[in-house]
Order: sequence, then structure tokens, then C-alpha cells
Amino acid sequence: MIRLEALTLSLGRQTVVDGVTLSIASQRVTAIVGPNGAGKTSLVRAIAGLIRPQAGDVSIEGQPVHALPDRDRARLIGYMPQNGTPAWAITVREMVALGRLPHRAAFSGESAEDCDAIEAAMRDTDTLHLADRAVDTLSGGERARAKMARVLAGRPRWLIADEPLANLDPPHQMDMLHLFRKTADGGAGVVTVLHQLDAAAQADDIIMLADGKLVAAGPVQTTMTAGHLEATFGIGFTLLESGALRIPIPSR
Amino acid sequence: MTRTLLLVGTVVAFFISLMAGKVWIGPMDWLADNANGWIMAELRLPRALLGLIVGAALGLSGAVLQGFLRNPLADPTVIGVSSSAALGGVVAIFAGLTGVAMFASAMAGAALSIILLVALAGRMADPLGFILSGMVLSTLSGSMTAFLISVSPNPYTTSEIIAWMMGALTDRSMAEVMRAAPFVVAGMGLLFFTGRALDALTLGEDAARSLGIPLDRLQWQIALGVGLCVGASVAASGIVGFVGLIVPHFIRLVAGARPSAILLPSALGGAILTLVADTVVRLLPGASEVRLGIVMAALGAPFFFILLARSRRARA
Repeated sequence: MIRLEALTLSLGRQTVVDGVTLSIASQRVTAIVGPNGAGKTSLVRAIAGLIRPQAGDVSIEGQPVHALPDRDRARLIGYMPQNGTPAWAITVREMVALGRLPHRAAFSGESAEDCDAIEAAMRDTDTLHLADRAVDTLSGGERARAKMARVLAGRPRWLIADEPLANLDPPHQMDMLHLFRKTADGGAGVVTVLHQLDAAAQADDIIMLADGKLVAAGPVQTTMTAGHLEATFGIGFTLLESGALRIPIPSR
Repeated sequence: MTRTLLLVGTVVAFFISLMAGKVWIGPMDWLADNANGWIMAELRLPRALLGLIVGAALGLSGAVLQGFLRNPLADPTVIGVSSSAALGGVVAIFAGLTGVAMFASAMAGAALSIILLVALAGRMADPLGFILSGMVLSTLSGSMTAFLISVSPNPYTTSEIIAWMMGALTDRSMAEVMRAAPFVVAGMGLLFFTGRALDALTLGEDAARSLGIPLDRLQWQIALGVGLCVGASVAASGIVGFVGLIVPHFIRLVAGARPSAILLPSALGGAILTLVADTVVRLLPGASEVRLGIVMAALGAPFFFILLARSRRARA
């Protein structure tokens, strides 16, 4: 379980997350939604141990994230940042292999386990055929999948992704959501910032942020209500029933 | 494969550098008790050794800096270490110091610039901050050097300063090699261990940190390693430009783009380029030797353009 306790985060002098308290369960897919500038990215960066809280605390399985040694934290948490193209034209296989760095002993090559994990991650993300391509020749969607393969290759207990669906076409969006489901079923916790509310509707739990403050958090079915959506985004929503899903449609 | 070829190339370049010159000295004469034996022991050997360590140090420093700053234009001159070390050397020439004192003065210049650089660039490994701070330092020490040249007491000092600034391996003694070597070896030791961190940085700072790379420590390790390598190189041979910038690019074209894969090859490539350029310097006709940096650029630039054009065509 990940626990945020009165978490307050600042960038420079600006408070971007303000007193957020919540819990995130393992083996579930948790979506974080909110308008631009709501503090979603800062929140996931703090969960990944990349920014120190101004106040409050982030703990994972009972341990404060900031107290974890770098290597232990890196094995526990896989983090996929939002943007960024790799600085050098390395191959897809080389990029995915970077996900194994926290597991590699000093001065040693890839172990059999490393190779298995890399291949499995590439198979799961449909990137095996891209193995020898340079990352700067990939399409946006191919690159997003290769980046996800890099994170999955580390076989983290927690998968933290910042807008992993950006640049993906609908079929690959669906594949990515299936992958999250599979990862959660495999025993990991998945926490992902999502912009598409129809995708968020397919998560197990949802965290709704507005202006750095928590609007609501809980199971999607009971939490993603028209009222909470309006409080989060400032406009009205209609919920469209589609099978077991309830898809929010914005309306003015 | 690439590494083996480069290693063989380095050995060959080293031995050619020993043999070639105004007089050709074959292996039979190396230990002979005559003029050739003396030239070998007192001139050729220290010169070739210095070319080897200076070239390797600069090639490796360039590869590490480009990886760390994720900028293909980075090299030791960009972050101000070269010109600060040179300023230290110029101050020494100005004060009439030679030998160990001059070496120490140049190393002190490098050390000061590294401390200022990390202090100015801040705790975080932000490439832009690093480059900007380095350029400010570089400009500052460059203008202080220019000031010292403009107020130098006599034309002899002026020409001595300018000659030294342009970089050369000429007339170096074994004592100078032995002074520089320990610093270069220590610095290269620090830099060789940055490979995995540089690979991770390919994905950006956040991703690298999430993979467990301590960027604060990496920044110090690189600053210290480059300071030792470049400080000692400049102290021994003046500013030898071009190697740190161009060699990693050559290597990337043959060894791939992964930062850790180009570290050792860049060191070897730097040694080869420096040794070959210095050999050409010796062989060119004329009373006085053409400067090393000039030959380096003349050799390297066309070769580089050919490689670049070929790789463009291969990708297209």
C-alpha cells in the first residue's frame, strides 16, 4: 500500500500539492485525473521519490519513500515520465535494457533473468520487432510503448506512469490499459495519470485532483460522479452507461 | 571488434610516433648508446607517452561530458576547465615559474574552475546550468589571460604564453610525463565508472533518478574526473583542442550511440588522433613545427565530414 499523509509539495515558492491524504492499494489500477496544472505530475513524482515533500509524507509498504536507498527504491518503483525523447539514438533493445539497471550487479553483463525480463516486457508491449531500431526513428506511439517496456523490464512492485496514453492510437491505448490490468493482476500496483476520462473509467480506483487539493478518491464506480467531476474540472458532465462502464461526457 | 581495432591502432600509432621524425629511428637503435638512443630516451619516448595520456584523457573527458550534458557539442573547453587551467599556467609563466610550480599553478586553475562550476551550476545536474556556468568561467579566464598577455613585461613572455596556449607536445621531458600521469590515471578511473549512469541519463534526469542513479554524486564524480584529466593535460601540453569534441562523434558512428559503449573507445581514439597528429607535426617540412592543434583540425575535420556523410546516407 502507498500512503500519502498530509502531503504538501512546492515547486520554488508555489505550492502545487496541498495537504493530500490518501491510500493507494496494490494489485489495482489507480487513475489520477484533474485539469492541467492540478498537481498530478508533482504527485506522481513525489510517489516515485523524485521530489521531497514540503510537508507530510509518502510511504510505500510502511516505509517513507525518501528513506529508501536509491537502489531499493529503483527496484520497488518503476517510473515512466511524461515527456522526453531519449538524448541519444540508442536502439529500442538498449533502451528497454536500461530498466534492468537497478538489478544488475556491478561490472557484470546481463543475466539470464535480465534477458527474460527484457524480452517479456518487449513482447507485452508489442515492441519485439522494433528491437534494433534507433529510438529516434520511432513513431510517437512506438516510442511510448518502448518507454513502457523499459519500465516493465524492471518488474517493479509499483508501476507509476505519467500520461502513458498520450500519443497512442485507440487500439494501442486499449492494449496499454490491458497491460496495466495484467500488471496489477500479476501482483503489482499501477498508478497512472490519465487525461482521457473514458480510459480512467476503466481503472479500479480514481484520484481526483483540482488546484493541488484532493477532490475525491476511491473506487471508480462510486467516486467518479457527476458532482465530483464538476468539482474537479469546473464544468458539467453527463455519465453515459456502456455495459458495466460509466463514461463521463463533458457538457456546458 | 571495434575495441580490438582501436587498441591495435593505439599501439601502432604509439610506435610510429616513437620512430618517425626528422630522423627515423628503427627499433634496433632505441637502446643504442648514440645520438639516436638519446633522442629516443629524452625526446621521442616522453613525447609519445604524453600524446598517449593527453589524447586518452581528452577523448574520454569529451565522451563523458557529452553523455552527462546530453549535448553533442560539449567538450572540456565548453565547461571552462581548459581555459582555467591555461590561466593557471599563464600566471605561472608571468611570474617566471617553471616545472613543478607551473604544473601546480595550472592544476590549481583547473581545481578552482571545477569548484566554481559545481557551485554555480547548483546541486542538481541541470545540463543547461552546467553549460552556461562553464561558458561564463571560460570567458572569464580567457579575458584574464588576455589581460595578462596585454600587460606582459616583454615580447618574449608574450610569445611564450601564446605558444604554450596553442598546445604542443614538443620538448617535454620524462619528468613532465610523470607529473601528469598520476592525475590523468586517477581522473580516467573516476570517469570510466560513470558508464551506467550516463546510459540511464539518456532517458532524462527523472528517469535516471528513478533507476537509482544518484545525480548529485555523479555530478561531483564527473567534475572531479574531468578536472583531473583536463587540468593535468593542459598543465603538461597547453590547450589541445578538437580531441574532446570530435573523437566521441567518430566513435559513435562506429560503436553505436550508447554512452557507456563509447567511453573506452573514445579514450583510445583520442590517443590515436593525438599521436598521429603529433607525428605529422614532426614530419611536416619547415624550420619550426606547425602547431599540434592546427594539424589536428586539418586531419580530423575532413575525416569527420566523410564519416558524417556516409552515416547520413546509410540512414536515408
